[in-house]
Amino acid sequence: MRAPLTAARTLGVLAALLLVAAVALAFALATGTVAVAPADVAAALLGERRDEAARIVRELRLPRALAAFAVGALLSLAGALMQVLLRNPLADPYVLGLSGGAAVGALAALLLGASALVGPFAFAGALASTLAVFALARGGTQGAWAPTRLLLTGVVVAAGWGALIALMLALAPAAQVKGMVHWLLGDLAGAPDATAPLVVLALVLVAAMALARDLNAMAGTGPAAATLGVDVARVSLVLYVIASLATAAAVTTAGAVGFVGLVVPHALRLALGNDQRLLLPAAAIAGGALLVVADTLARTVAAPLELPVGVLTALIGVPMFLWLLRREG
Amino acid sequence: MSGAPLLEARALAIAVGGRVLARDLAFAVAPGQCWAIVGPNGAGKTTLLRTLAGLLPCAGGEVRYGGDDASGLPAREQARRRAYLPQDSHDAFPATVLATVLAGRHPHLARFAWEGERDLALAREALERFGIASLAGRDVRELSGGERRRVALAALLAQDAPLALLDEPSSHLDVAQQALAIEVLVRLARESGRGLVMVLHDLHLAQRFCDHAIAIGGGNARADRAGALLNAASLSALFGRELVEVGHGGLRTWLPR
Repeated sequence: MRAPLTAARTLGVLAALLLVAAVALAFALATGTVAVAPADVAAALLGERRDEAARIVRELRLPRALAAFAVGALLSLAGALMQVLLRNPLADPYVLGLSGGAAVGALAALLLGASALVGPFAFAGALASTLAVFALARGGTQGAWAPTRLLLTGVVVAAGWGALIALMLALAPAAQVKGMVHWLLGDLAGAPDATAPLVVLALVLVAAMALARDLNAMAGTGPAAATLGVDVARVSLVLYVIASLATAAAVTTAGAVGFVGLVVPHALRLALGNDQRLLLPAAAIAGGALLVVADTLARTVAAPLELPVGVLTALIGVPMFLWLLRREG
Repeated sequence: MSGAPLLEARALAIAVGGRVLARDLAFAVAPGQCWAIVGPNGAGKTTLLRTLAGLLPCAGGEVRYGGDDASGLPAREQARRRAYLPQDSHDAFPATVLATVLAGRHPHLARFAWEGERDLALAREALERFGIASLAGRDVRELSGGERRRVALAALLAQDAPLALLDEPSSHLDVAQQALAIEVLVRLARESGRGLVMVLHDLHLAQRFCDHAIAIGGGNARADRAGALLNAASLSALFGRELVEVGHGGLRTWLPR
């Protein structure tokens, strides 16, 4: 069994994961209908080449790969944070209904024919759902942040959004249904600029790292966090806000990509332990790398057809997760 | 803070869900003292302990740590002055025994600091004291109830607070381990001037190890020397059933007739 975690070991593991992420990005930049040799990818990035291939790498593949990385990292981080907030390893970023709210917003924009507004509408829906769950789950005898109450509120709100989504799909003209389904499955084809999700990622990661040992106490098996000097109500509020923000940023960028937020933190917890000082940054890097690879496959395996990346994350994630679970048992 | 009692209750009232379980309770725990909280089921023993730990608000009066109003202290400073052992621990996630015990060091570390040599040494020493050093690398979820309990006790020790509040520290332990665990805590309290307050169901342990007691039941709580409360007449009244004293040598307990 492993020795206690040290700062040196944490840095070592994170450096190794960053290397994996770099390889994943290189793979994404080199792969596609036009194959580009690794050396040419480097040359294109450094601006030493200005031909068609270089343009594809710089202007098409790089923004999309960065968006995939940001989305994967945000979802994975949000999943890890939700798992601590709810003290439940089965929690994922969408468990409290946030993706449902975002989906209703996005589908409404698509129904209205305002596809340019899909992002803002999705963000507004996510925000509305976050506030609704927060307002509804407060109060009660076990305190504002009792995990069971929060979880039940979120699940029921999510069910409500699910009904609205089904209704919109049923009423939508056939021509629009395909676009709506693609959004629901998660799709980076129309991914805009990666700047916004990358900035949110940086902010959320810094906030999460500042709280990492408090989160250890809350998720941990040691003495109750409150008696260790953790202000549980305040930390829970921050946790809820940053996990929601991370999820909203991810969903706004790429739709409801599934499975990353559940599988990556859980798999890493099995491999690396539950110390949040390592788990949170590791989940961000690994989640980002996974989605970069998944998105590259999504746009290449059935080319010229593009698959929704959410389908691929599930197809990769489900067997991987089941294998890990069996190995653990 | 020197000279002031480690824990002091002044005109304390405790309540749960608006129901007052005791009022006007006053007592002070001096360094080296061991207090037992005894009483029937549902009388409010855990409520009292949680109120003393600052996890529940006082329904009246106040709780002081080292002369300072506890509710006015930042959570982190509270955690350096008192440690608390809950009745049960929950394990939603995997963790090693050593990591679990190291968690007790949390209030002593700065925000971005890592556990150092000293923290590790304190954690290992705590494991040794309860005879579970060999479990250090195991996952807590694989342990038996009694082993798990000793891990929780070691984590409490690693927190290194002058005041320890324990809710049924002997639960899940076999008779030999019960005596050993309480012996370790009491010896440490007497040697290094700490204070102990323990909810105990086993009257033999209360009689054997505690110099003071709080009897809570029927909406009332009394604090006194152990001898004044742990006797057949008082205990019979407290538990609402006639108890008789049985003993061998210096060991005594009370059993329902």
